[in-house]
Amino acid sequence: MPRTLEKPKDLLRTLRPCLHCGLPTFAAREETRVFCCNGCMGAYALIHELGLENFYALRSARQPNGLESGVTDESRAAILEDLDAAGVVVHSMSDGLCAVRLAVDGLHCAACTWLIERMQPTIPGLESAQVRMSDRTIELIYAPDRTRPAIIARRLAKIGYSLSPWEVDSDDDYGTLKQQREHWVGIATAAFFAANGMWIGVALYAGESTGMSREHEYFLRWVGTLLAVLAVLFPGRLFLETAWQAIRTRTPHVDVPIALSLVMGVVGSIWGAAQGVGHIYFDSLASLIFLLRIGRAIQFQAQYRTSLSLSQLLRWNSVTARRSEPDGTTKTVPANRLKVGDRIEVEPGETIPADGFITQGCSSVDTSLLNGESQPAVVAIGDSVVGGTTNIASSLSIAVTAAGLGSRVGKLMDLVRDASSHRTPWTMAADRVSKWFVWVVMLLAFVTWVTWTAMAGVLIATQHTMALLTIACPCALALAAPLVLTVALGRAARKQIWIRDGNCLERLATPGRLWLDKTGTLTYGRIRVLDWYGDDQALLYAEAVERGIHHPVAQAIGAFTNPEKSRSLSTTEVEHRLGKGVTGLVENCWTVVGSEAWLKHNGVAFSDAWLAIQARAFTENRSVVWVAMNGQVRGLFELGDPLRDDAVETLRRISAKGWKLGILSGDRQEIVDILATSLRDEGVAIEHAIGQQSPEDKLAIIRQSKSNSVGPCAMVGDGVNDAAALAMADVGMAIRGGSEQALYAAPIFLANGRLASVNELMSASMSVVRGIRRCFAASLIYNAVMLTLAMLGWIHPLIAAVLMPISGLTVMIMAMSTQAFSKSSSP
Amino acid sequence: MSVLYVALPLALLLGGSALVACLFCIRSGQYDDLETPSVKLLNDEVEP
Repeated sequence: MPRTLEKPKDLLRTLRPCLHCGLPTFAAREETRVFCCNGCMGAYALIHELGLENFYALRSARQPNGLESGVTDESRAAILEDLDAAGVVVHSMSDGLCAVRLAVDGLHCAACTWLIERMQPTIPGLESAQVRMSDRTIELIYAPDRTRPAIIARRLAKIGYSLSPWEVDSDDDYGTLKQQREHWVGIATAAFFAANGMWIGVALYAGESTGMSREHEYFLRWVGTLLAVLAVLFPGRLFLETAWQAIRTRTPHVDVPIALSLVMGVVGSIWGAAQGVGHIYFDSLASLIFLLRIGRAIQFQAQYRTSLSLSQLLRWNSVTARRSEPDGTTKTVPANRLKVGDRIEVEPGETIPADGFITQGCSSVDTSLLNGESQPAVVAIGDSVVGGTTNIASSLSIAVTAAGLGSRVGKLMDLVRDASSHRTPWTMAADRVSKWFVWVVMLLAFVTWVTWTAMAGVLIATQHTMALLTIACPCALALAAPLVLTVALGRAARKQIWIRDGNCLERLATPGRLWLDKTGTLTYGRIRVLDWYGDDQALLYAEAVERGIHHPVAQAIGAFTNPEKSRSLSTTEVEHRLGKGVTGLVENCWTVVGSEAWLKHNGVAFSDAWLAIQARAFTENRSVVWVAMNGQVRGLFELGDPLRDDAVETLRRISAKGWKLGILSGDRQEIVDILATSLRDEGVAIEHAIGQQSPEDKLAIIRQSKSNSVGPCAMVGDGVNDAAALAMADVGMAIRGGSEQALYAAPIFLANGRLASVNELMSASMSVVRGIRRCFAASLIYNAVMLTLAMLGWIHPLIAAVLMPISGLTVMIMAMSTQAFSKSSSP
Repeated sequence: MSVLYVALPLALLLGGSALVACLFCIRSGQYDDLETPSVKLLNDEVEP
């Protein structure tokens, strides 16, 4: 019978955030400074040494959860030694300095830019380091005779930011930048014409009541008309061109009615100016163009972000590889430059950069990124490995069989691209409404004109028609949806929920089917020690023997125990057998840690009481690691990947909203079943629990469920294996803890890593849809009432001109007051 | 000859020169990155 089944008191551990990266870490209660790893400890020390402690204060002000990972692999900086080979363009400047633009990984918040830019004076030869958050790049200006980008990169790697060659599709990048500038130019010029048109309009209205001379009125009319015509010809040209394209290709487009109204406006303005009678509307024409250009710029921004994410997605391929050269040396090259037949070396802890088979060494490989398998797979010579997985135990030599786009991950990336292009086209609610709105207004204007001409003559009829055209405000209607969405997206970002595609919020409002990945989504995605049976001494000795071994189990044990205490113990003759366990002498005591078979192999006998504990652990799908000292069983660890703390509560709330839940995992079916059963016991209605799914299977299930189910099909997941499925789903949500590329594949990224955010998102999207509907209703009522009054001839064009911006303002205020993500909204 | 015929073109010219200045700013790349400056402003407050 084991002597103690309770945990020893002095080893009680709590989960506390790492001081540097904020990662929840098991630490002893008495520990004052908690670090998740030595890297974080080093980074913390370095930052203090440089007097940059403000980093932590700043970070908590902006982002309580801090960085995703504390440290990056310094060796990656080696890729920047040979800038030509890495494809980096160096600009030489006239004063002898050089400038390069590089991609930065690990950039998260304000504190990151602050820290990086404050590092500049501490690096000799570095003249300036400017971070650009929008595309996560940095521009380094340095003196080439005093430093090199590789040196700077090593320095930054020490504090957790890795620099890599910036994958520029340079034409493409420059093209988007140019287009973005064109949008700003359009808005600025349209604003100029609108503002000037408006004050000339005011002068005319004022002159009407005070009695203005005819020649002045003529002059003002002609100048105003000229401004409106210029507005149509320059900023408004975009609409005319797309409309012309649409007419030529005979595809209906929202720009056709817009262009028609613009042309009618121009003709009317010129005719009005020539006649010198009736009411002017060149000011409305110019402001219409201004508002339309703003709407277009917002739309472009959203699309630009999508394309940016895709190029960041492909940046994965810029991970580095160490290639063995024929002369026996190794050279660090970008992974996308590897060719079939190349030999590469992969150290433990590194990502395998390409598909291939092992020619030397044996190790274990963490494939959770690719298939969600929570246990590492053991590999030996001749076994094939897949790029994107992580080598864990010892160094490997690999012969490349497929790299870059030809590799499995590369093909997966293609799937992601396909899925994103198959998504329903981005149609703003504005387009749907304004399409018919313009026609209705045109029709009403025609009816008004004809009726009033018959009743009271052309002059009166034109005046009433102008009033109608002025007061009709499609802008308020058109701006409502983008405004409400923009407000919600901004608030969501403050909660660290990044939403790339605003349409997602609309889709999440109605309940549908929600698929959840298991490893890393419902669970934390890493093995932890859940329980320990045994005494203190055995625990210390087990930790001592596992120290320095790169294996998830060893790391889990290290995180569970207090490494300070075992550090004084001397360990010798440590031997690590993959997939079995570890043996070694701790203080001359023969310590064996590992599986039951490994202990038996080392001549340890088991009592029935111990085996009963193991049997019970197995029924809960926990794995067991035994500890024996001098041939005696002294304790056992129960390990597993536990459910997230907020999982049960969140799922319960989501299903209360009417969503149907399903689990979709790459892990073994029985493990998924056990998880589903335990969730059902907690009162969560899990409809499907499907295991053993390859990325392609997941994609197929999502596609099928999309066509079958009522309501939207949403998916929460992480990892490369989910990327295609996330992109295919109506709403894909990537949760932190997975790989970066999945985050870029999904339109929603839960940067705060909380599953509860899924529920928050659903509540928020209901508020958003309510808010949009309210704005639409207000706008429609306004237009219905005002159009009726205008048709009846009760509204003077001057009043119409005042009312139009007021209606726009009302919609704007209503949009701002939407409850989505605000503090008062209950999740 | 009214002052209007001088004042109005002059006003448009003044406004136009502001527009030209704005366009120059846009073309010189001032509006390319709207994210970082907002973040940097925050940083300056706690400069040691």
